[in-house]
Amino acid sequence: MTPDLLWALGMGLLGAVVFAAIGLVSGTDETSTLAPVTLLVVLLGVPPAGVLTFFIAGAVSKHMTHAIPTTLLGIPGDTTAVPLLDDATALRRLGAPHIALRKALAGGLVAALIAVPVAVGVASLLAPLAGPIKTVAPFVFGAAAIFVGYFSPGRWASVAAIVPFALLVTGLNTVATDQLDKSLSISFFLGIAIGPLVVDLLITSSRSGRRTLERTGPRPFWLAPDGGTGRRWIPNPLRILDGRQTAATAAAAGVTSTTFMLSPVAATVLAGEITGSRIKHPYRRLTTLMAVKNGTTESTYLAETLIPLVAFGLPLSPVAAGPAAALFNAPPVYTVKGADGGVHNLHTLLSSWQFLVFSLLGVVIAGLVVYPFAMRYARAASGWVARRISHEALIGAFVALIAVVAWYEGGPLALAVSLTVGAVGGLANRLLGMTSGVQFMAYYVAVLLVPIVLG
Amino acid sequence: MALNDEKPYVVVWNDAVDLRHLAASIVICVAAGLPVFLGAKALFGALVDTPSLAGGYALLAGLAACVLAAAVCARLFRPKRTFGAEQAADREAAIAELERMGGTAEAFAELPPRVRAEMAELGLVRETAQEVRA
Repeated sequence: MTPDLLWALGMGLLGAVVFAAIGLVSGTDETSTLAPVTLLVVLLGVPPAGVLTFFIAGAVSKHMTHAIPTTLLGIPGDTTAVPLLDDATALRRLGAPHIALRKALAGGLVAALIAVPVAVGVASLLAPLAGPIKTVAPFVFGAAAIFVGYFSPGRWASVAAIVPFALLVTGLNTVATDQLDKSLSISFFLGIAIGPLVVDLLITSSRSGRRTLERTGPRPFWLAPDGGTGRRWIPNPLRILDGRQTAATAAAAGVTSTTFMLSPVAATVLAGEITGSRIKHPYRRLTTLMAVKNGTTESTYLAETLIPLVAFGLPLSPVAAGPAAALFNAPPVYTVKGADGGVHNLHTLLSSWQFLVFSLLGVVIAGLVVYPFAMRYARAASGWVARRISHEALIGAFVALIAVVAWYEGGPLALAVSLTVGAVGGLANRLLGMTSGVQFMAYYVAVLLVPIVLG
Repeated sequence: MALNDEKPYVVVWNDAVDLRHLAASIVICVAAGLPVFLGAKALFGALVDTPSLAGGYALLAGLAACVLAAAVCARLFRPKRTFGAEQAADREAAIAELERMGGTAEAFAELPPRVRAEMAELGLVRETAQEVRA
């Protein structure tokens, strides 16, 4: 075996296990977990094949285990699980949460296996256009930022906030360059990712803000019983889904893995609407929607990561600019704008074939490790997490992680930059509905477009 | 989620926390992570020739300290969640719910055998409907 393959196997396994665990913690956001941990893997010097397999296995695993709180606890596993919640709740009322979970898991796996080759194929078709696209990239980023902003919950407010946010980034980066003789990027990145947490912590420490916080008793949670189908458990997804469900999931995955500009949530809602309107019987509709929607989330996610990565090397999609950003830009290892002004990241380090092989390897590892585990131990695992891991410990770990990583990039100043961006970004997210995806796009506008505009 | 004004917990990052426990957790984790990182950076800086590699090792040490501290916090501060097993959905109630959503006996009869078998396993089928359609 080549060293690349060994790295890919090892890192894929690590990514699958780590994110299977994180996915069990309900409410963890995609961007704030997948982005910083992937960044770490890059900074620690893991070879490109290992980084890619880690990310793909991690994303696929997290989508599998986040279906567990969504279906069994009735709490969205993370932001991309929100569109599944209503249908999952309806199935819970029918006493079939375990069926909801199994359909979702099976749909996700089928979709992931389809999405990787389709996305890499589409990217190869788009690659010849990469040259012209790269020269206009700064402007494409401007347009994409507006597009992503318009389709965020904030709509026009998000679009309007792109300019001040980009200027904030430019200003902070100028200060950092003056003081440290190098520009920062990881710290911005972390700040955007953990913005909602920073804002929550600021509010709890504010005397007037604390009164506005939602007060609550202990959070009650219920675990749905896992009975019904007995011990007969077959991991083959094609036997968990019926023919029509497999066909619908495959069709949705095939179509959505050719696109890379729509956000996963938007694509999932759309695929759900189209599929759901064609099925009359409620049981059949709900179970099919679990498979199709979870599958669409998966395929959109993978396509949005792989297409920009393989074809352009620039993070031209909401996922690429968000959770997958470290695959594109993680100085000093990967850059979108190096000393020579060129791209130096997975795009230049791996061939299309390697992308195909290592991404599929990531999916297969997640499928072999996490899928049977989730099928069999879903209920026990989510019960253990809810009973044993306090939210305080989790937040403490995240805050410390941000402190260490920001300090690593540029000492106390970088940490201050992270917190500033987190505070402003988090407030914009909370008050204006400017999601972290829009903020990541605004960051790239600041780095690539602002210098051109300002001359 | 039932809200209760008398209880001291607040919702931070989507879950209930005790603010004093939260503050203690953050202090413990940062106090473990940051000094370990800085110490490791100094140590590896002296031992390893390549500065970027030394930084990488220090980062890894700092993160391990964060995770370890979080495990300690998880033991010190229990989750603010109460656990109750949800009653298994009553079969009659579930069937009524299904019919309310439009899952009538007529609609059931039009389903392919595989879907009908799946529903029968879940007890989502009225015996009478089966007999009528048999």
